[in-house]
Amino acid sequence: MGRRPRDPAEPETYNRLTVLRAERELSRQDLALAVGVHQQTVGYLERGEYAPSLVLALRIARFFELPVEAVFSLEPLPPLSVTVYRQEQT
Amino acid sequence: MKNSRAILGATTATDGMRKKVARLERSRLADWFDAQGRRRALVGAWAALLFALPVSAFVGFHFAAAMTGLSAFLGAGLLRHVVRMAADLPDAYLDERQVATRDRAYLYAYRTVASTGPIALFAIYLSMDLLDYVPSSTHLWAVGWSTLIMSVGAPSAALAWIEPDGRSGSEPDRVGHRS
Repeated sequence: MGRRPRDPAEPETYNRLTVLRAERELSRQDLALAVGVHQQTVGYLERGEYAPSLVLALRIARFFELPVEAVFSLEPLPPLSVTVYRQEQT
Repeated sequence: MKNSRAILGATTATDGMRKKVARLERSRLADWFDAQGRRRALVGAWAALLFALPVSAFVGFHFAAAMTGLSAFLGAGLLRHVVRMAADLPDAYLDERQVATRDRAYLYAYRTVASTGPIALFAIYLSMDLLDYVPSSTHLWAVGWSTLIMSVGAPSAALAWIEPDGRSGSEPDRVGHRS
């Protein structure tokens, strides 16, 4: 998901939060409570309207038991299905 | 603006603070202003009142000026109520986005107050020098009150203006679960 930055100096960030949350059947409230933010903040993160701090990004990645670069990226992320299919083929 | 309780589960909140948060969350009026458009309309109306206060006094409508001043003062109170969660709670009870938004709003408010107040004074001094204008006490009171109310309400107004739409009902909270 692309970020729509208000400040042109801020870099765009992308994440897979919506997919990961759906995959694990979590509500925003569940994720918010797990990582210690308000559920609205989860919404802003998912829509790419807010770039998390390093601490929050690491906390979210740890919650999903994934490396942080699998959840957040400065480049557009390919769909998870494509990534998994490529890995299976190699 | 509806902020709230997520942090309370993750920190060592005192009973007093939990009660305060619960009390702050119960406001239906503030919930109604969860939409950014409504908040911005309120800020616009409040700014118009601040402008109308000295104009009414200069035109000679003293009663209207007094009523406008009272309305602007009540408007500042309403703005404070609308942003009560982010404005009243300590940093420990807000997440990083809420703290960042509040800090940015307070910076904008500081810049507004720091520029508008001196500009109003400068305009009065300039008109005294160039136009031989002698301000009456009513005029000075009107400008003074307008600036004072703006100083009091500017942080809340800036916060109400920049906080994004809550969008509480526009997107599904839970996605992709089995039915």
